[in-house]
Amino acid sequence: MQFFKKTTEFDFMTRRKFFLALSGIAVLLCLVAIFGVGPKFGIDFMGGTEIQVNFKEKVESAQIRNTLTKLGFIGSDVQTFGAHESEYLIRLQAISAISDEQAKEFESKVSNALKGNKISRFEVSPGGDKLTVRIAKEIEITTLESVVKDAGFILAEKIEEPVAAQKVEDGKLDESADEEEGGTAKYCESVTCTWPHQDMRIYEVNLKGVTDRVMDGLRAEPFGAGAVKMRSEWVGPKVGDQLRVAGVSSLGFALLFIMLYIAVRFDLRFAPGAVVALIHDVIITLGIFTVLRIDVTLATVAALLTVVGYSLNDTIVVFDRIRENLGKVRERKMEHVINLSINQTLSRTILTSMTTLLVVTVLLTVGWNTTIRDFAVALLIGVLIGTYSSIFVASPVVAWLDTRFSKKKA
Amino acid sequence: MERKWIWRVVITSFLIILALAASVTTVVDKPSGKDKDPLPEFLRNWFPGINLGLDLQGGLRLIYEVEVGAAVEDKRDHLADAIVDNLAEKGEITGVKVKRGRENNFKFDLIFASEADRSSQDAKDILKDFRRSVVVEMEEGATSHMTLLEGLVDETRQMAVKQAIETIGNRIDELGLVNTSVVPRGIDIIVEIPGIDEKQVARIKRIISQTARLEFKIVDEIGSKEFFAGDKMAEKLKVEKEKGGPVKIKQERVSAGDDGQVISYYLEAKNDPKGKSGRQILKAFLRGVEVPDNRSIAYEEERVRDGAGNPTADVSWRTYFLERTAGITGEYVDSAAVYNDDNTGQPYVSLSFSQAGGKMFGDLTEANVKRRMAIQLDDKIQSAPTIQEKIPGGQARITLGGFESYQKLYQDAQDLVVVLRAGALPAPVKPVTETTIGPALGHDSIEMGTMAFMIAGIVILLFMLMYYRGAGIAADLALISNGIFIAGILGGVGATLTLPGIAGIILTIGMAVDANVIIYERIREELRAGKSPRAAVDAGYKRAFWTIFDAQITTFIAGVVMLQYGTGAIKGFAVTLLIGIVASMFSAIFISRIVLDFMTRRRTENLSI
Repeated sequence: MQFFKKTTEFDFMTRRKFFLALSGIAVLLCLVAIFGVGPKFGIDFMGGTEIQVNFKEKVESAQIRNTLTKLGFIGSDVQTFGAHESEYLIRLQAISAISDEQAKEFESKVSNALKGNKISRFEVSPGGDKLTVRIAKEIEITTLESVVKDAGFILAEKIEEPVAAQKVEDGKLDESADEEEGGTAKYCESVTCTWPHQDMRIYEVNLKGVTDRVMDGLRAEPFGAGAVKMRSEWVGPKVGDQLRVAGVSSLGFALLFIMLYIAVRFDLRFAPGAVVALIHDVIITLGIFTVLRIDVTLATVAALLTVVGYSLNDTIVVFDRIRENLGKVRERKMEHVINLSINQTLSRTILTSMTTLLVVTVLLTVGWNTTIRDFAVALLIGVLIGTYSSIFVASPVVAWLDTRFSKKKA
Repeated sequence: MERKWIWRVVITSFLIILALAASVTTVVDKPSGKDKDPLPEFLRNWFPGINLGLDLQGGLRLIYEVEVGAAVEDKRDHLADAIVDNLAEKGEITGVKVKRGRENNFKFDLIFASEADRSSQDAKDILKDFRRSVVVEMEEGATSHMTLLEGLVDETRQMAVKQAIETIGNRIDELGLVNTSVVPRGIDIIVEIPGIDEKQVARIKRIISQTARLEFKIVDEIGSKEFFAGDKMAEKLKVEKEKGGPVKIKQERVSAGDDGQVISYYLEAKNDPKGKSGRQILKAFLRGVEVPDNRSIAYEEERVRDGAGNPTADVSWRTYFLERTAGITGEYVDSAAVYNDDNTGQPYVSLSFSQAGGKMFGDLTEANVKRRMAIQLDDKIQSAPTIQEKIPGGQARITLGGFESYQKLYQDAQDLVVVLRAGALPAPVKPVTETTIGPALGHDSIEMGTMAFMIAGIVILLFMLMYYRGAGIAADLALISNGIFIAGILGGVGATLTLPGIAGIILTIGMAVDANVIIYERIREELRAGKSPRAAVDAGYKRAFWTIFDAQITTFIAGVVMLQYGTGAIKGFAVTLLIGIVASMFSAIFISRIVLDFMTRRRTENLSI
């Protein structure tokens, strides 16, 4: 079987300005999307609300995930907690029920209503589940709750039984047997808990937020009847600032070393082409993510890295043929050589892209309802862009640099 | 030619069998309980097998609480010291004492020598300089009650958690764990480690929760007399003696710099046979005893000596009376490594300080020649050597205290290097809970993913057969052995496989397919150019080799950079990428060639490609 019986003679290079312009515009649009709207970072990067739920009986994680998808929480982590499959840890994405402006507005309302009681801190938890207020004087919980309600917050219906944390027995613990800081008890009434802190009191009012929506949704399912919320809390991102910096700098270094290698093994003119193509791929893939509102998670980052590797491989294969042909046919212009090389490697390019797309399609169809979907979509977009860029971005950049270079020499 | 070919077959077969053996430990689980392991023991020892990461298998979820109170206390102590220094230097107000609030860690009292000092304009101005962090709450007599600002306290607490997360993250990186997540939750830190064996979990837990505050402190020999041999202590020791308690007072003759030889006093307690360590006993004994403000007590483990001075098997702990402020701390350590002492054969940790640290260390040792300097790690003294002369050059060496086996000491030294490189925790952390958790991806996703992976593999194999017919067999054999090699290497080194890791494998399998395609397309080109099958195969491989080499090496370079500079997910991706590239280059270039050479072994006219 063969796609092309003989070497094709498509003309890729005469329209190279058109394709470069097309890519340039696409990159610009994607940059606008990335910096204007911003990619939708998933829980790995943003943190989110973590709910620990106990079901009466064994439940499959797929059932929980389906319910969450129905409720609009796509891309949440669902994992078993403890040894039995009746308790789960659900991590929801960063969704704030209360915006910063709203919180500001509420704050001024609450502090007006509590005249004479200096509020030194007013904080709505990132998940919108809790309101924390620090007040210098002790006040009645009922007063506080009614003030909070009047300000526009919706209070939780009740606080669910908090479960005492299971202490770790560690022989070394008793050596630091010093009394705990303050050693003070927490007191809860209605939906508010309070405890002293330094010279003031902290009041924590439970609000109706994402957690309640999830719990209501789960309880409405046949498998979720009688599900109990063990605890819910805001957790920070898995990928902290440090990791983000490490990620970006490693990409930067990788590009630098690749440029160096290509400059040494091939020619100085080739190096920028490969790197421009890679940057092009990353920006466009990320741009499409932003437009389609696909979550950027650790899995999609892995897919992005895969795309970079794939595109690089593709570009080098074309470059290698250009290098070979340059040695053979000295008299012809660079454009012709590039055109010939792209045509000579075209059947390989199409064949490789096809097999990769085949794999991605299988991943997509089989894993549509699972967390693999985003990963597969990222690969699909990336492979298409990567194939396009090695022909229509990397090689034209080489041709362009070549003309610039020779003109200066002349 | 024939002979060379046979050799290649032998090498390849050997490698494939080795890879199969290395991957079988992953596939066949070790049976739990009494069932006999179907695999021989040596296989499990040689090839640890592939571990699955948190996302694929789940693991252990540990929650630590950062004792942020300690960080606030630290901040307060630093500020108090700074104020006292400023008062003395700028205002020439000396004799100011600090009394730290026992219940409130954000308060302290400044006790001036006189009320006049307290109310002087200089004192007021100097305190004003600190108004962004500390304010005067109340003044009475010669005392100013100070309190840290709420904002500063909050900030200190938050910073403590943030720094603790970074430090724990660094330690995990230093340990080379690819797949561990460290996530903040209020003042708690959630650490998740994939389900690795208990022994390793124990080590990780120890390394995570070690504060690792390394301090070099000068021993106060003269002050030890007043503290340990004073009236108050004598009273307590008398009671202890009547009770028959384990705490005893001892003395030793030591050199104390300009003061020459002096008698230094210390307390000692043997380990209790019931399991209480001498340190715990001493700590309990000293609870409630007020230590002078600028002094601290620390403990060292010792062998009990018999009447003749020979060490016995019993272990005891002793106290040291130290200057409270450390001359230099672990913050200034630039690098650390474990070495073995040539004379004793014992492992020790060699440190080099940063430039600033080296100068501090030089000054410290110069100013304290012929005094003892205690090397304190958290609240344990590792050793307290006498400084013989100034130590320039910023190099120090820590001999580990304790009396464990060589292996244990060596492990401890290595762990110390890990924590020194990663930095100290800003405040102690306390383990709160420990639970097992399921895979983050969910069982459903993993099952579907595995199925998709298998289907995709079969589709590729069939496609290659269809497209290249006879040569497709060679390609398929190369791809299958590529898979075996990757599994074998991953299992052989006991790597941890995660979703990003699988992405790396998918990429390299893609590249292996591509390598085959490059070779065969080239052979087809050569055939079209009129070469004989044999010559076409030779030329195809020769030409294609450099293409494949350049393409894979550039990706390999990217992988090495990711492994070096990246963390977490990126590292996981890089590891499988590197392994996969090596495997796919070998299988595409070497193994498929064996088959194609076999097909064209006689001067055949046709090659099915």
